[in-house]
Amino acid sequence: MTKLRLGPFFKQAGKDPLVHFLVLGGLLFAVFSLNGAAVPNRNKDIHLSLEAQQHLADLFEITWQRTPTKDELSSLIAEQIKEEVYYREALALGLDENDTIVRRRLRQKLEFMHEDLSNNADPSEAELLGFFNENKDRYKTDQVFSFEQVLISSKIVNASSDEVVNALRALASGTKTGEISRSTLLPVSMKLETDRSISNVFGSDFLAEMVKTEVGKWSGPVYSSFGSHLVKKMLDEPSHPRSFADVRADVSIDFVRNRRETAVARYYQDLRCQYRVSVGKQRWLQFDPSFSWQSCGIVFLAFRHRPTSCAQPICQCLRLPKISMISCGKPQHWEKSNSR
Amino acid sequence: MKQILWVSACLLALGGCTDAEAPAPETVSANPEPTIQQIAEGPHYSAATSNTHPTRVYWGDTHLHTNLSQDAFTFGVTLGADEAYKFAKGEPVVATHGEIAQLQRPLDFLVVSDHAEGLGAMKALLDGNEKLLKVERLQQWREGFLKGTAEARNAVAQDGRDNGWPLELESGEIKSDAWAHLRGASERHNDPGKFTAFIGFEWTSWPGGSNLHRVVIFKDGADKTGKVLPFSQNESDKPQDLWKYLQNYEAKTGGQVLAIPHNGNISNGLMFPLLQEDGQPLGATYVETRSRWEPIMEVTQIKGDGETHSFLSPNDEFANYETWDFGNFKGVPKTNDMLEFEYARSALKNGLKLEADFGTNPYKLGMIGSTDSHTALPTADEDNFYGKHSAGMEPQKNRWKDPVGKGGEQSILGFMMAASGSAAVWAKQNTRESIWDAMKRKEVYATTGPRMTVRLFGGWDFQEADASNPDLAEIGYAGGVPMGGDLSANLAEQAPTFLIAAAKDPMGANLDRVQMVKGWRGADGQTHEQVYDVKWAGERAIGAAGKLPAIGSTVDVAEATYANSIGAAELATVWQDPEFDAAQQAFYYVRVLEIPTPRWTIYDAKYFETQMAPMVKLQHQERAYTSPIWYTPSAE
Repeated sequence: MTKLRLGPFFKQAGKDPLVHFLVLGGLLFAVFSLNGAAVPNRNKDIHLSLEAQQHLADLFEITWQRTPTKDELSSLIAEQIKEEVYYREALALGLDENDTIVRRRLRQKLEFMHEDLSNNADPSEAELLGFFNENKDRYKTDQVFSFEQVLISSKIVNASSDEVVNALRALASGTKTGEISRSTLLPVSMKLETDRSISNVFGSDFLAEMVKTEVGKWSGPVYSSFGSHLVKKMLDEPSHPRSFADVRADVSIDFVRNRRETAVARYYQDLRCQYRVSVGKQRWLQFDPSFSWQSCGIVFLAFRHRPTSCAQPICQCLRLPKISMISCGKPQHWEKSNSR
Repeated sequence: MKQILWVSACLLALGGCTDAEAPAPETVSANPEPTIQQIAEGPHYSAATSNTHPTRVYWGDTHLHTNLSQDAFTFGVTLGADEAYKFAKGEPVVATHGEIAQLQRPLDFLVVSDHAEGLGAMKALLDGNEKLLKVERLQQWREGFLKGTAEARNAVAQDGRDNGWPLELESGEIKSDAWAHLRGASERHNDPGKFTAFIGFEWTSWPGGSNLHRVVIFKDGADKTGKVLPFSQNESDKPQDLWKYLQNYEAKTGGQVLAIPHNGNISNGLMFPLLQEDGQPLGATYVETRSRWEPIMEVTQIKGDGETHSFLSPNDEFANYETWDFGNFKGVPKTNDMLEFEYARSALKNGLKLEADFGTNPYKLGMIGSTDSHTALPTADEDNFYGKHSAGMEPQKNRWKDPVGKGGEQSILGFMMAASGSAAVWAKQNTRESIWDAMKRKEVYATTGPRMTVRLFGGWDFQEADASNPDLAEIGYAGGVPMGGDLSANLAEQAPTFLIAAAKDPMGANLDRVQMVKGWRGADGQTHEQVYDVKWAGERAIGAAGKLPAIGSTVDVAEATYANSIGAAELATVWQDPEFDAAQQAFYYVRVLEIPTPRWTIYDAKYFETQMAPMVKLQHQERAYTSPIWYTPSAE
């Protein structure tokens, strides 16, 4: 381990203009601080840079398709200064507070800003593949069925009735469905249809029973609000996963959307975790099960707010017997106060 | 910033949409990928996909408003197009009032048709758009929004209706942002074969408060529709100018578009006129142009059913279903002489007259139903009805007696809302192309909510046995034309025959009866109508007065239930016109009636444990109206 030598450091620092600047600045600050009111009020300084002036001129040009004259530019600048003065005075008067529009606008700006920031890079193949693997269910094919059906009665007839037994026997021996079916607008067969579309045509009761029937064989009765059916399920294809290559385009869209939503949600969550929130009349004393009680010394009773989603729990000490709050802020603060 | 969000949303949707202000170059279809439509043309191993005719009816709503509509936003809706499409697909969403809402059965298609007028502008106003905040009236409106009460919001809506919308709300910048957003949402949710999301808007013309509204539906995707902005009544409140816009759209993009008129009942006699407003004849140009762009009408929705009025159809005991005949939006009262030009059946009749005068029938209109809901939730089910708008009309205890709207001084109370209707479409595939084509050829029908399946074919030689043949549809297509079609050749000089079949909603009520509604133009040039009961449930006989007795009711008002112990699951027949005159123009459409069932008010009364006033209708017979089939005598 080399010994720390400060001599050369000061020697070097003595030549550095930055250090001169800092030292002088510090002296000036000290003087003005002692002098109180003499500190220049930075809030009363307005400087319109050349770039800012150019920006005004550019905006003018977009609207009018020509550069502003000297007079026009002067009045643009005057207008801009006026706006700035009013803006600062309004802020000083607190006019931005409790104005729903201002609040909402600021919130939007923050959200949009964060969305834009989070949204730039193209996802890599690895990211997409990872997202696909985590969300395979989302990219599965639909479960589909094919079946034939015969409406044998508009009533509910039971399995042992002659109608059912005879119809099943006839179908088994090759009789065509059209010769047995009652006249109906219902389709004789549905092919490769999802549960949703079968339910739309025959109703959910029919669907629930039909899916249970054996493949390749006439069976029933299956009941719907139209009456009693016999059904022959031809195909019962469970939903199955699709390959990444097949759904890559969808994955890419979902990934980007998900990344944006997650980023905004996480951003908010991070901010939210820094706040203590209570709703209703009992400020601060309204605890939910996510609070856990801990001791913080003899005169302190502390509770710790741990929303599961917060990486950094907020902790607070409740001083007894006066019941006053001390916000412990971040965990290291809490750790300190606790160790004392 | 918002634009960035929306545009990025568009980019995500497969690069499907472009900024409305910076049209992308025309995309030439160099893509060799066949469309689902082309693939569907067959032939195919799976028989179902090789059908040359539609075998399936698809259910949807062509008329829905979200938070980009000025009025819906004013009423307080928080949900946008994305939520609307999600909800239509069957996913649960949190409604504006905080309830978790979900459809019992998803829709197959949806058109989000926000008002073109100030599209997106109210949202921009609340979000603090600087240009809008310079307008004093808009500042007051904003304060109304911030108060947030139903009264404050209704006051804003009323001010808009009475004194017009400030033109600042028509900012092109805001509108093109909103249009990009709507197109993007539609692209994101359109899923050919599973769910169709159409791009559309509503042109909200209302001269003097009289409703001339049309919903505009594009067949095309975000690229073509990005070359136009929605046409607003502030550009013109004349339908002729809307038709020009539609014409320009097709010419400019090679796309296809149609318009659907609705709520003739609030037009105070202007929706289906026989004469121009100055008393001059409509003229050949008007009738031809109108028939070119408006193939179907929306005949039933929350603001009333428009099939027919009992003043116009005094012998029809089922007329006046969910009738709204108060006047127009500004409270100009209704007079009986207006009714003829407002209702579907009389429009169909007057169309025959205009055809005789000008050679084209401008009112050769198919029929669909839709909700026109302003909650972003397309609900037409009596037991799952989210109401007209979000200013107190979503489910809540007092919505039946709170005003849903005002016409001048007159308040219209919540219980008047009809939980209606649905658009049924006979299409080969659940795609934009296939469903739009079906609307264009009028192979569609309206219901007041339930999903009855209805077939109607007109031909010259259907036999009674055809009605009980399992291949009814094949016979129908082979031997005639489907609903929306035309009959003309009548070589045998015999009366036309109609093959009619109806099946109940698989999850709903049994059927009472099937009726044929005929309208015709007599030798004297006057029009007439007749309703025939052609098939009914149970052992009933037509009485001396020519009326079939009512079927009775199983509705239990206290429990909000009914039983399918009466009625039939299916009704089918072949009917031949007993009073046919080959020299007379005529139309025929089918009306199917369900057995009586609880109206939404009963479900509300039970759920909220509240007592309603005696004037509140508690049960009703829901129904379907098919598009007509027209008979036109041969020219000589």
